[in-house]
Amino acid sequence: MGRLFKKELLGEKNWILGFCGFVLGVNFLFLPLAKVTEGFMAMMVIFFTLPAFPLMTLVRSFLILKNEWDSNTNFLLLSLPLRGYNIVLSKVGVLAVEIFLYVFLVFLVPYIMLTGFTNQFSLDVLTFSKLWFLTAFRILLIVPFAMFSYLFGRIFSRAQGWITAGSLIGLLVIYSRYLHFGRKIFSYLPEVSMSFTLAGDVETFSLNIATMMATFLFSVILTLASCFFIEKAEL
Amino acid sequence: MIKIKNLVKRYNDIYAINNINLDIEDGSFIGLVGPNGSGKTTLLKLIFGYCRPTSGEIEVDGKHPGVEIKSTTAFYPEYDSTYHWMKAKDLIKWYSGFFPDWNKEKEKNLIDFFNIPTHRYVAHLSKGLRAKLKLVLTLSRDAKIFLLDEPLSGIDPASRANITSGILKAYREGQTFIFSTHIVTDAEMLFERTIFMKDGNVAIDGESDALREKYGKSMDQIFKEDLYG
Amino acid sequence: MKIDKSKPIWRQIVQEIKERISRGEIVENVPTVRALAEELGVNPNTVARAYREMEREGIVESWVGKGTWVKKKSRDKLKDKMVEEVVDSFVESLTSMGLSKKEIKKLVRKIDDKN
Repeated sequence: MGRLFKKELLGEKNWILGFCGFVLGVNFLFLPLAKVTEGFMAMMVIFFTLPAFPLMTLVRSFLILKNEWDSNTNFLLLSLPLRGYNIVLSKVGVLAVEIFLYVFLVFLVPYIMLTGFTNQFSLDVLTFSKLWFLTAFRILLIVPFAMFSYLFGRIFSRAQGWITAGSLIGLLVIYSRYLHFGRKIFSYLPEVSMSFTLAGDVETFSLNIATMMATFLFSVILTLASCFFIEKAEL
Repeated sequence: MIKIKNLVKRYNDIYAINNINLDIEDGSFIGLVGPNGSGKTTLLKLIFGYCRPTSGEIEVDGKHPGVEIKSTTAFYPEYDSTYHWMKAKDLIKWYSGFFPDWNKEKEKNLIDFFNIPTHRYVAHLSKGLRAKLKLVLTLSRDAKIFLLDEPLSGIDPASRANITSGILKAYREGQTFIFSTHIVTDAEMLFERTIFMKDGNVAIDGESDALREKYGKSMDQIFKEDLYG
Repeated sequence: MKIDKSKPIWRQIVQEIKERISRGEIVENVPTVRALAEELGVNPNTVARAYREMEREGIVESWVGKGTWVKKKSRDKLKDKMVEEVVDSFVESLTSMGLSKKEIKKLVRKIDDKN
């Protein structure tokens, strides 16, 4: 597995560096504005860059598999005497590294600016870490949706693209239905609340853990199915 | 031992494999001959587990195609399946680490024989060298079964003898080789048994020397004159 | 050696080895199966089959681990047989041209005088 992970990481190297450069670039572009607006602009950068991540993650998860198919390297990858989970999990692992890295950068630069340029904002490291982890983890849960639909399409020998598109839509429908029940399963979990200080006021907000855990369970099932499908894929 | 029973593979309304029955003994070197679209690639993919039959059965040493047989079976794909962003030596090192049956000496001999500049990036190698690199990846193992899909396609006529002698060097008695090709004349002397395919079916199947005696022709002539002439 | 791909290859190998033995190119050790297979570019199993046939004919003998050897009397026998074959075909082609046995004998004596 380590050997596979290393290959995935090296294969994604240019993409990772490129995107980190993008995130940092956007932030530094807004640096002069952040000074003028006393950090407000820095916060706005988060709102601009963060929503792009779920969609980007969906596309990246497709591509990390589709690239193997398009370049015929799937023949090499699937000639290895390994069970499907090795291949799927090594790819999920690399996407996890990417997402955690991006989200960290997206939060880090504005955080430094806000706390550096204004004395009105403060956020302790623990809260920062919580915010980072929960955001990245939430985005990571999107990965199995894309992988499942792609690999589900690949087990058929025809109309693979249509099946993939259809299964993604179907999956989202099932997921939204499931969420009602899923939330109930994890309803005993407390909400995670975080607080920061802005202009002397303590602002508190909370995240719903039950929804996230329900999604996590759903994603685990999708991952297991993907591990099974990749062994059955038609080349 | 590979056993194939009533094998059918259908893509939409096209039968890529149309009811094939075959027994392949251990230690035989087989030529799988037929024009493009006759079902050679599909048959090899089905044996390895790269796709699944519409109906019928395949057994490889008593196991079903798929992950279970990959530790004892090697597949050479016709397509360029190499990672272009790696250096050739890194690709070989990375790939070899997955196989307990990797033979370091065979690897070295093949690299020397094919004269592959392994310090270069795969992207910078010529098409022919990439094919040879792929052969190193496939043949450096001490696997039981080798499925070679069109190792001569895309190779210029002058280099074909180099490819076939490389394959011959890697071959060990007792191993099973299935070598698919539509370029017969450069490879037919390697084939102990030749299976001619036509429209997803086996047209002629026999020991090559017995067929030479029976038809008074080379495998290439049988292919061109008797089957598709 | 030029192999004719339209005729059984193992037979041509048997023929080739016999010729090499009678010409004295192979004295004791017959090349290993693998060496000959790589030299000719044919499947080793085909070479092995040719060797088995020669063993059956009593021309060579093989011991596990030691390789294949020409039997002591084989060379002379093969040479005699080959000379006979050459003479036969020589006589046959001349007879087909209308020469009588007497005339052929005369011709052969002429060669002797020249030398």
